[in-house]
Amino acid sequence: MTDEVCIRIKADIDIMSARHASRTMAAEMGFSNLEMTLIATAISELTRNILQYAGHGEISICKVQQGNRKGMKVVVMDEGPGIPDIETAMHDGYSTSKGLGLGLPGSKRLMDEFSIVSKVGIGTTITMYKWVSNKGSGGEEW
Amino acid sequence: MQVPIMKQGPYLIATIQGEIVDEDFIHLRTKLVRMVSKNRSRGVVIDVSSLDTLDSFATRSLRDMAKMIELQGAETVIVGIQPDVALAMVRLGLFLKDIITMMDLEDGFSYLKKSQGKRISHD
Amino acid sequence: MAAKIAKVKIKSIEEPETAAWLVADFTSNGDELQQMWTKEMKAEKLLDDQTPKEIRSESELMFNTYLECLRSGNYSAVVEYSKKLGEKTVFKLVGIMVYRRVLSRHIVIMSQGDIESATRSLLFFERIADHILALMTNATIEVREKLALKQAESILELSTPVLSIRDRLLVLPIIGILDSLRARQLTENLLHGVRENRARVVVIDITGVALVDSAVANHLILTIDAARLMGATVILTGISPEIARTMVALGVDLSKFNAMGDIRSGIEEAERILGYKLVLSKDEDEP
Repeated sequence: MTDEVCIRIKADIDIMSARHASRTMAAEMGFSNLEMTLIATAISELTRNILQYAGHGEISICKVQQGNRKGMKVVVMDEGPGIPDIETAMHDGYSTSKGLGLGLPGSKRLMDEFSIVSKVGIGTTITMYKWVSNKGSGGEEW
Repeated sequence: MQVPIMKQGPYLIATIQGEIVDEDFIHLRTKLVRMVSKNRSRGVVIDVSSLDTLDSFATRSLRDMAKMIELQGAETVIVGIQPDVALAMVRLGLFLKDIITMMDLEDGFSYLKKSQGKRISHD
Repeated sequence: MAAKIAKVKIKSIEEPETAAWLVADFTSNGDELQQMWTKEMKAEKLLDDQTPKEIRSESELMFNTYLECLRSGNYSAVVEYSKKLGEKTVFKLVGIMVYRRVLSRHIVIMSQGDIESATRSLLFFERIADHILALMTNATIEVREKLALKQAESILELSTPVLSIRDRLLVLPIIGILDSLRARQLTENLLHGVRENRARVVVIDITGVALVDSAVANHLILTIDAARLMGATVILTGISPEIARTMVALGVDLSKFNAMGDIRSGIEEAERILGYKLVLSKDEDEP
């Protein structure tokens, strides 16, 4: 069982690998089918952002434990142009490219925790968490 | 992976299987538009039941496809969106408001038949 | 607390001779001690619903847990044993307690009147026994909590039933409090119900719901949108004037609900939609 996966994002096929990796890990951890889909969709959105705005970047997915709850931490990084105004970017409908402008605010809605650090000219790092919902039978120990 | 397209009477069926990369969507769009005009098809059913994720790019591709097919005089129905995928889409903010969505191929066809019937009887 | 106890080292605090002596003594008197345990358990009518084979294996497991703790100098054996607490939880907890009594008494008897040695051994043993008991109690509580959570969940599931009343028509009557947790349950039940039943129309009746806040209202709207993506139409019925007023005040767009007055008109409308879809029935059309 791997506790951390890192994937370089250079082409659209890497988006697929990232989604796959998140599903495999989420299934191991006892996430529900719905939760797996939510995570995979958020990853799909953000890795596509990388391709669209930065050209290339990296995603790391790892298992985390915080007290009694366990979850998945996803970090999406690029060294692209950065986002000048994060507050505006977090509003629905914002987009500088041909996208629908849902990437950032939409992904935030799919995950439990979401934070973003961006510097113009240096790059963007987004950190997200999803916790396994407490259902008594929270999957295997790891 | 290429998306197979089948012809059934006045309709076309495109079944998107498993994983599909961005390029495949563009291929599919070009191929569908060409086939609709060549066969004078009245409707297209796009089956997405084997997709486990539909992000904003895929959704936009599907909508663009539907709009271009509409310009060729045919209607598009998207069928088979799975429960969890549907929920992820609406949470993300993707509603596909202007596109017809149906449960499965059967419903897709009966919608197209009814819709054509109406079109003809009203003309 | 349990996690702390599990890591406590025995030998580093106490003299190893006492531990070694106890292990040797308990091992050589193993059969006798296990018999005493069985006798005590029987006397308290704690073995009534167990077969002799079960009693033997349980007794052995408990006895070995004590021995293993003394021998290894840590409590990993208890942690291991408490993992098997799934069933007969109380029996196992009481069994461990009775062993503590049996073994303490044995220590006193074995010291043959040497009070100093008896006290030292007893103090040493009882400390360990206390830790074992604390770990077991903790594990028992955890098992019970998990069970309670599971029960609460199944009640929750029952409280949002999905009824298939006609071919391709589902009805979800909701009664009681519709909080976020239940709203989430409702959504999942509804969407998977739609898939399993190939439902075309779903009627959600909230006549029995007293209050809907804006989070739940928005959740309902998302559910309706998701159902539409799957090819199903949702009709909401039984919105009380109070709920309608709150929703308007909260700025919820009521037009998204396909609202109908009561459940009956909702079902009639659903049938109209379905009938309109299924007019193909020849038997009824032909005179």
